Amino acid sequence: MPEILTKPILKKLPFQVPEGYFAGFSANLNERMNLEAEEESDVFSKPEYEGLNWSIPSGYFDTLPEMIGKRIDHETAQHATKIVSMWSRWKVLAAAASVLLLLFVGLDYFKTSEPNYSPENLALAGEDIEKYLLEANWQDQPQVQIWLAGQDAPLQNNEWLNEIDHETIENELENYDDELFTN
Amino acid sequence: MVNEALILEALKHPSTKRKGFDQLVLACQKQVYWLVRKMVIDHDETNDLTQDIFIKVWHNIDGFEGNSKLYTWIYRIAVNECLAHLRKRKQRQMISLEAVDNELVGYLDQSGLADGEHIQMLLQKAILTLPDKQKMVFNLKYFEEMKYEDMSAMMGTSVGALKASFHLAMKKIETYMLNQSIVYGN
Repeated sequence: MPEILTKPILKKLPFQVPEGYFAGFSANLNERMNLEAEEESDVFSKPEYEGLNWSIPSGYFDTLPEMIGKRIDHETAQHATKIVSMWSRWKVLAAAASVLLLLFVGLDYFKTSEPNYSPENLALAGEDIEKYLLEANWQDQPQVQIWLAGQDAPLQNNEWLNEIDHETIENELENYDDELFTN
Repeated sequence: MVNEALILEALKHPSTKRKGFDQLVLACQKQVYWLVRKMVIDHDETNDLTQDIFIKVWHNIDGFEGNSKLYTWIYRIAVNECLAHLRKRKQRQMISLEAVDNELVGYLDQSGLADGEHIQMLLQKAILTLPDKQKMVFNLKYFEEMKYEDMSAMMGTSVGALKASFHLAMKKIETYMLNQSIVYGN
């Protein structure tokens, strides 16, 4: 150990402690518990622990056990109170859950979802448009007829319309038209 | 004189548990207080932390299996709580470690140290320059004169590491004190 740290004075700092600060400590031990010491061991064997002589409020160690005892009592009481109040807590939780559910349902009602462009949905839309065009008697219009022909063709085969001549298309549309009105 | 075995016996039975705990507090309060005080410096903070430590002891005493001595177990809780507290304080204050140590030096300056004993003040200031765990090792070895084996069980660190830590702490403190040009003894 470095020489500077071997000075005994270093371990007993000259801080001030009120006179008689630790008095009565040992006596209290025997009064509060009818247990007799049979053997000594470590910390418990030290009758009077000498800490640093830093200033501490007067009588601090006389009151510390009481302060700790009060905190334990307080925590115990608080724990008991918590058990009693669990019902009201459940009620609050149930009410909060109901409000959240209503809010969720409400939001879902007003929710505007993204349009679904799946083939099934497009087919359904095509049926609607087709029905509208037929009801409006626009089926004679060439563009409408082409469109109507395209509705039955698989999506990936739509390009055949570009490669065939006008006459073939007209024939196709005529057949389609007949088929449409005979059903 | 208090007997550890009798306290343990009292703690086992619900009817005597509280009485046994009171005895435990009376027997250990000073050791725990000073262990914390040397690390935290400020009395009020030490008071809060000491109470927290004993509350924790109360809540966990049923889990004490007797694999170690009771005081070792309590010290372990105290050491862990103390180091955790210092860690949290540094995080909470969001300032540098150096600033926290400077603040502690400030507390030390106001701690009722008698005039003229500058060497003790200097030692405490030197200790404050150490990292927290090293500080704890130094305090337990130098002031408490605790065995490395007990410290090892308490801190979960090997004896060798503790010896090295204490050695390093001493070297740092020596350097600090010599740098302050202290004239001591002879």
